[in-house]
Amino acid sequence: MALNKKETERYSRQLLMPNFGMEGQERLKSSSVLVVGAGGLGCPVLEYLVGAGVGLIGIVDGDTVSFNNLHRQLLYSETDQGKLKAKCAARILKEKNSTVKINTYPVFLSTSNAMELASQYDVLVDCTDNFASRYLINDLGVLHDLPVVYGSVHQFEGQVSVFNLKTDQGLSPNYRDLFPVPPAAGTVQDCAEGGVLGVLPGIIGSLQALEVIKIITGLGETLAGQLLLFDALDNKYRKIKFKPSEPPVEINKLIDYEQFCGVSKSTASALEVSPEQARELIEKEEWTLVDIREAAERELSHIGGIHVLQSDVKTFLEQHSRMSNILFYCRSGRRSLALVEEINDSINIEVLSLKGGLLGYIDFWDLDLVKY
Amino acid sequence: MKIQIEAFGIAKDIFGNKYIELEIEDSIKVAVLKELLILKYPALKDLRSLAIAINESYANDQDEIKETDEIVLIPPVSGG
Repeated sequence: MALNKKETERYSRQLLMPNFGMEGQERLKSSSVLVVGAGGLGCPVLEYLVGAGVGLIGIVDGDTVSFNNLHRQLLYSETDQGKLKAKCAARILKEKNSTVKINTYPVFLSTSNAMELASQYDVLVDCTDNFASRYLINDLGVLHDLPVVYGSVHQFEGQVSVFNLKTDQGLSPNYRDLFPVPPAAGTVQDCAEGGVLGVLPGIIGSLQALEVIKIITGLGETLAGQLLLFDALDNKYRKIKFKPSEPPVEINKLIDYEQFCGVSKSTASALEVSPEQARELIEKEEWTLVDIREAAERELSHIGGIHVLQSDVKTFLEQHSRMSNILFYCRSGRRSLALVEEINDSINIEVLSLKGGLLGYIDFWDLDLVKY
Repeated sequence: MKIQIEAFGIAKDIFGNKYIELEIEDSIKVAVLKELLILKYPALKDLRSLAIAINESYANDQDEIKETDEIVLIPPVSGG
């Protein structure tokens, strides 16, 4: 797709680079990229791809902008709170570069909509924040024969890689070659629980945008077959080589990824109590309220009870075998539910999880406490 | 022999440190190292996919560990 005069002027600084030139720019213009997740990673990916002149960009995100997103999701402003991220992002990006075509999908990627969405694009970018979506995007790439640019962050660290890319050595390995099975639900914190330094997804997302541009233009060497690990605290980058696992992981169709990742469906569990019932229990002597969050979370806000780190709960129960019944809580109710589901059969006392966690409790009782 | 392991992500929290040192028998396999680590740090078991890299390459369970090896523990990470 040839460039017109205006485009040539706009992208002139890029066109001047050796090995990039008109050809590289024309490749970008005729390519299409689907960015899944318009949060911490998605924002820089979108800004750089729109700036660079990718022809068509799809944005998939069913989430809305929250106040606690603003420290790292720099496309959005205070006035965007409560609005759909996909729509806000498209509006802002259009102002930056009106020549790029942007499709918005204000939904969450799922097994039922993924195949159709992906069919229109050349590259998938994984900017999501949960394991179920990461396995879904990986398998989608394999089934659709599309490269996946993967990025994820944890507190001060990030990971980047390129999966399923056609190379001289065949298709590059994928997420399942790195991590064949997901961790037990609730064991690995997300940004809402473990926190994240705002600039970190900025760095990792920028690296993802770079990989997308390299894949499309054929510049340099991509991270296919390599996992890049970045530690912001000591500015150290490590590249770990990896290969397809043996025997190879068979991916024949999309599956139920929430079940695969052990995510409890929102149906009521017999092990959960509502904020209303919880208050009644807490007032009884035979129940103890236990907060299983990390120390930094406890410091932000709490609704009382004793504090036992999730990693110490099993030792705690061994040491307090005559303990009364326990009502566990965390931020959203996810970790505490996973915990009680795990330990319920192996102990003699009754254990329950506060449904909706600290956040649900604050909302229900309209408490003046920090929500994060 | 004494080896040093560098941890990333949640493994760092489980170790309580970025680096740990471990005294192990000579030339044990990666699979045995994983078992030893889980014994010492039971929380690692819940990660299920526990990747170990030796000298900047993903290691197989059958690979042997040498004293001079640079060993990195890579857990899955989900944030975005």
